[in-house]
Amino acid sequence: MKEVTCLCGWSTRGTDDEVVAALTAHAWEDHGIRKTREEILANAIPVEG
Amino acid sequence: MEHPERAPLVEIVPALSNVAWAPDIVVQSIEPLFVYLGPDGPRHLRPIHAPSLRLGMRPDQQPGTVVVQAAARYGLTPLLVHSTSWRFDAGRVVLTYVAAVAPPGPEPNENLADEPVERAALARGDAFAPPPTIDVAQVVEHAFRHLAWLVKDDAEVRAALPDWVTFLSAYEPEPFRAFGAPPG
Repeated sequence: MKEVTCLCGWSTRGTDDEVVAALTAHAWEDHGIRKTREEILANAIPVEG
Repeated sequence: MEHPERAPLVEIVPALSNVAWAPDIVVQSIEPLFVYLGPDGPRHLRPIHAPSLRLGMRPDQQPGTVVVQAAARYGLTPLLVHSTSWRFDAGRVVLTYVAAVAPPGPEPNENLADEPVERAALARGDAFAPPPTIDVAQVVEHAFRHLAWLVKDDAEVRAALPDWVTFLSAYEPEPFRAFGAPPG
């Protein structure tokens, strides 16, 4: 399980694929920016499932 | 009858916890509350898409350092960071840090909403359990009450927040207001 938190406070938790999908959508829909999978996972932290 | 000298010195009891310690697993969050003192009173710089910011913390990090680094990410200048409360939320311990910051510049970070801090009733639990729900406004109220005590009790805090002393006096518990500042 991974977790990533956006500067706006939005946060998500899940598998690598789930985190990447959720943050990709959030970054585009709420901030109008695109993030790569590598950028997203580089900022994700491991959490207990 | 057992001789006193043969009585066990240490009584073996079941382990207090059956959870393995795992240094690479994060089960705690840091919750920085960025607050500043504006011309009309205290204000909370809240992340625009959440009631408060939740930050993961690696085992090799100091929580206060995490808060200071987070403030820098938003272009804020911390005056004081101090842990003021904790609570259990969504399967993790949330450690709240109040981060008193200097008033933001004319172009505040777009990820933060600048809101006035209103007084709130504290969340109350019972003798063995926490409150059923805790709102961030109640956490901020608790944090300011904590600071109200610290500015009188801790010279470092008082020196860091000289402009906050008057405002924080409103957060002192009423029975103690009459006593004034400690001597010296």
